Amino acid sequence: MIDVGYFALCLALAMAGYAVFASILGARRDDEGLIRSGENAVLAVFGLLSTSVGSLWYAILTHDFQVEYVYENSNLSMPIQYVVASLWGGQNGSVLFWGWVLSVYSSAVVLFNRYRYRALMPYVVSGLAGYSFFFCLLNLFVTDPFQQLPFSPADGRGLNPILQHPYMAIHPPILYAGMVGMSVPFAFAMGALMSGHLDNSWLRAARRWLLIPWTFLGAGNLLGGAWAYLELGWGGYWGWDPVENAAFMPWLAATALLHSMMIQERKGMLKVWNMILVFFTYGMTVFGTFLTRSGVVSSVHSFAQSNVGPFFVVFMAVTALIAISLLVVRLPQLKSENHLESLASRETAFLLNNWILLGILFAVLWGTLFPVLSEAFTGDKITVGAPFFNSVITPLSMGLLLLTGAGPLFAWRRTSPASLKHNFAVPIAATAVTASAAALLYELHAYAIISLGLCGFVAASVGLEFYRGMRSRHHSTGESYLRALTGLLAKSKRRYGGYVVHLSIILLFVGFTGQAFGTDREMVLRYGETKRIRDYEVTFETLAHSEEPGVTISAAALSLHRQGEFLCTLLPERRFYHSSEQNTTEVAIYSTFREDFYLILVGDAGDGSAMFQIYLNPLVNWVWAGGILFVLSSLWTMWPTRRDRSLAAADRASLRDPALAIRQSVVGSTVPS
Amino acid sequence: MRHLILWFFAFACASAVVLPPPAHAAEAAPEASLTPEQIKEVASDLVCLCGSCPRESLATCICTAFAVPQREAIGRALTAGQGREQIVEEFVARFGVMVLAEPPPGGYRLVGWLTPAAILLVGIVVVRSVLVSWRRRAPKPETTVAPPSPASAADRTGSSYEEQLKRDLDAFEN
Repeated sequence: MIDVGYFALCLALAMAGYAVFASILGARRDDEGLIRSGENAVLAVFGLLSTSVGSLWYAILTHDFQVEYVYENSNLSMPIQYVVASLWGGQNGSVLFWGWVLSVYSSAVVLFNRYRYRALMPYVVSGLAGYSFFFCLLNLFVTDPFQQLPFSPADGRGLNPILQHPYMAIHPPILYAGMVGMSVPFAFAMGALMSGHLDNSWLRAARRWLLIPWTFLGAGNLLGGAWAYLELGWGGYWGWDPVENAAFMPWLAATALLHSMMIQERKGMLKVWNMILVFFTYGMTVFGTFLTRSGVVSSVHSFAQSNVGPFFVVFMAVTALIAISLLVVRLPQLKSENHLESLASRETAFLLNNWILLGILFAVLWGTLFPVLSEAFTGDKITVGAPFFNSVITPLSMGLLLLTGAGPLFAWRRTSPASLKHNFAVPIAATAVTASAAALLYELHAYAIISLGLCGFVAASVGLEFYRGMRSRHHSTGESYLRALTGLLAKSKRRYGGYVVHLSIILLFVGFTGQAFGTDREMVLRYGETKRIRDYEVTFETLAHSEEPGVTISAAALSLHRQGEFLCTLLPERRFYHSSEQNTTEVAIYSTFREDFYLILVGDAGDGSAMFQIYLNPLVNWVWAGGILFVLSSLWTMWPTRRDRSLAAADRASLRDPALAIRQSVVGSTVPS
Repeated sequence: MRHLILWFFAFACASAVVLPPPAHAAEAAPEASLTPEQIKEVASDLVCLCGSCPRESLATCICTAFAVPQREAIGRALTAGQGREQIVEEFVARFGVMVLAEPPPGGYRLVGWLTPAAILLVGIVVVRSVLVSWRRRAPKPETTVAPPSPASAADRTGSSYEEQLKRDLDAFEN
């Protein structure tokens, strides 16, 4: 069975190569048959890689330990959900899975654009197939998941225990879907440059295909944070680990791109910049993958490292060379169509937004690479840890919050001083109220006061936009305010959905602010002993040990009271995994929107006492709430509108007369936009 | 708008300079009764080198291989009357500069801090030059500004906001 997978992978490599060749030749000769053949080859790559992934999965599920990957990453005692997840738990399997996710995206692009963007599609297909080709090559020659051992071991070594967590089972696929998907907007940009069709149609396609991976990437990062919070047991959800940064940087670039694309759509400006930003976003995903998997930086994610570094370096260099030379060739065709009427305009606000988002990105990149550069040039091994990142990123993110709130208060083209005054009055008042409330209620750090004040500013500015939209609809249609609100959200998904995304960012920032005033305490408790932490009383009730297949568990039971009132029983655990000789912690959390009481069992002294680490983490639930709202509002924003549906219907109708449809839609859709 | 940008820039710079970084606490004075917070203050300058965590802060890591015994060592040093700087120096002498949570003082720390600032500065210069070039491209009649344009005069009233909104939405819907 495993040979079927290997054979399918070989065929997928050939098919991907053929797709590149057929598409480009088809476009050059204007041979529709060849172009279609290239597209069909992309669908075939999907089928073949599905077979490949299926066969590896089969080997994992049937515990075929002769396959080295199965032996290394699973064992008989693992719960079934983690056996399933071990497909992406190790380096070789995850590279195969990565390639498969890419083939899903590529096939979707082909199927959705059978009759749209026809002038761009051959180049889009060749770009995506080229990327697939690279991954198949990696899988066959560097990270072969189908390699077999000369004998068949009785049991495997098992998945890294810290990865045996529900969030960790779904975090990688979601993050991959985010990282891989950034190749689609890049392919559309390359398609525009290669075909010379540099109007806004590529941008429309790229924007839609950017929103999907952008949402996945945001959700994947937050899931990773949730996993770290629950499983790694250091009381936080973000530690500026190089690999966290590697997935955060493309998200920042994509966020900048989502905003700057709007200027090109509306005003025909920033054409070159948008190209560069698409390149950069995609480049950051490849670079991030390289960082994670090459072992260049030391990281908590070191379980996914191997000798793939040089391949990535060559791939990045070749891609960058092609992209930059194409851009240089097309520069004369990428002139701005408009001019700036006033500095007090949305255009300026968006430029500043790009400036600060990329400023944050480069600061993170610098902090991540500084130790690598220092070791390379001076031989000194230095650490750039959380204190550096926190002190650099915090002031910058305050600036970002300010712009998030201020941007919508500026009109496109120009805003008169009088309307500026009018627009800013309410948000500034809201800032003053939230900042002083924060200062009065808690004895906060200055940053926390500024941050919460700015959260109030953004909330008020978004609220004002909603109120004005509602009022406008109420006056023009006579609808009630509530109906007007749902009407706005339903009709103008992009504008108002985008504002709800801004609200989710506020919730996240409220949660981040909590990090500034948390407390922690290490304490040793004897059986039956009670200690106070602020207004909590915690009592150590008992400790028990148990042996389960492959793992020894120590679990403590503690009761938690506040001002005499019983809150809950906390059950922190400490586990020892025999096969990997590794200790892990299972934290116990009493969670409210005000704060988390977060308790870790550090160790059992064996004499009736145990050591605990306790964190009072304020506002952490706001982060998770913000994350859920982020995903929902992003989905809402990209959900097809009535116009999209009519466009799709027109595409379907054109199936009846494909020749006509192709003539009609050399670039863009069948419906003029 | 110029003022706003300037004000914002000044605010960002000022907050970076004036406000202490959030993760830092004040200098600890050695006292007779030692609190866990005092140990954590010193430990927050250092990272854990156990190898199984991502160089986490020594103040928060819970590994028994490195963090817990090293925190106890900091406690002993504090009781012996050693200051924060002295303890940190001893750690550097024992484990090398990689035990420091931030790049070591001097050249490293300077480069570490100045690079992000320099990148931001370059960025704002680029943004400014883009804005200037966009302004310069403006057709002649529009650059000689005197009377407020009808749009800006009208957008003070509610009704024009509605028109503007309608225009925006029509132009902007996908």
